[in-house]
Amino acid sequence: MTNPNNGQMSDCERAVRQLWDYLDGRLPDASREWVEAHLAQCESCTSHFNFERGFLDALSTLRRDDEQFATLRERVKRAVAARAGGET
Amino acid sequence: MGTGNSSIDSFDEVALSCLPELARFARSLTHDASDADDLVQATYLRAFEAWHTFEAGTDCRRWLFTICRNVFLRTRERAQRVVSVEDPEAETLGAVHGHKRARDAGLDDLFARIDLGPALDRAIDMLSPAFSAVVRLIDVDGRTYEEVAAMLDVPIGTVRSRLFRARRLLQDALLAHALDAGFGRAITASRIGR
Repeated sequence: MTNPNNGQMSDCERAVRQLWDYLDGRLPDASREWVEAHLAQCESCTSHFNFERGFLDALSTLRRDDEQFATLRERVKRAVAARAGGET
Repeated sequence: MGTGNSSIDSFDEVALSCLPELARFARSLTHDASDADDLVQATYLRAFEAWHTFEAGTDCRRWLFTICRNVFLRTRERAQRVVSVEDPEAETLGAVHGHKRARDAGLDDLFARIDLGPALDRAIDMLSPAFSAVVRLIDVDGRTYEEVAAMLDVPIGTVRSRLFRARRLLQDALLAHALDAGFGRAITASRIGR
């Protein structure tokens, strides 16, 4: 990733350092555009970014819908009502 | 303490509407679905007792998160553990090696090819609380870094570094899981970093 000739950061390393910020949509416009230009001409980095995007997509599928909390909501309501009843 | 019918009604309307988000937050703290439900109930009971102190029109969700975090810290006495703040860029570069190991094992399309949901859920629960909280809140629930920093009462930079570290740890765990399950080409344990 680092350029062995002069110790400078290679374009691929520069891109990867910004990988998560790019995928999280947190890069400034100029940096985002630079990453996208690099990805357009670097197959290896494109493969890597796609791999990480797939990972984030897999994580997002774990999200529970709000409706799945209906049972818990009823349980809490009963507990609060019981607490209120016990204190009046 | 305001416990009349009107108080219960307003509590139901305002506080209980935050339950899904609070439940997700509780899960991020407890690592266990049953413990999370207990924590949610304890939080709401505490909140109901203090409902008369809640200022109408202010951020109820944030108020509940604070109560939830405090209840959790008091009951578990474990979340005080110090988590060192790693270098986020170093963690990002670590992702390169994760991808390379996956590619070497023929698992470049790991996430498209295998349903990793249950394994991913378990892997998150295996992380330390500081790491699992950020990954559940941001990557699973879709919250912003800023929201999570406020919820956990830590700087945004800490959220970022914990998130990047958590992602790397999860990828290591998932790759090991996929290989154990017989996916991919056999590679030695040392090469996958175990």
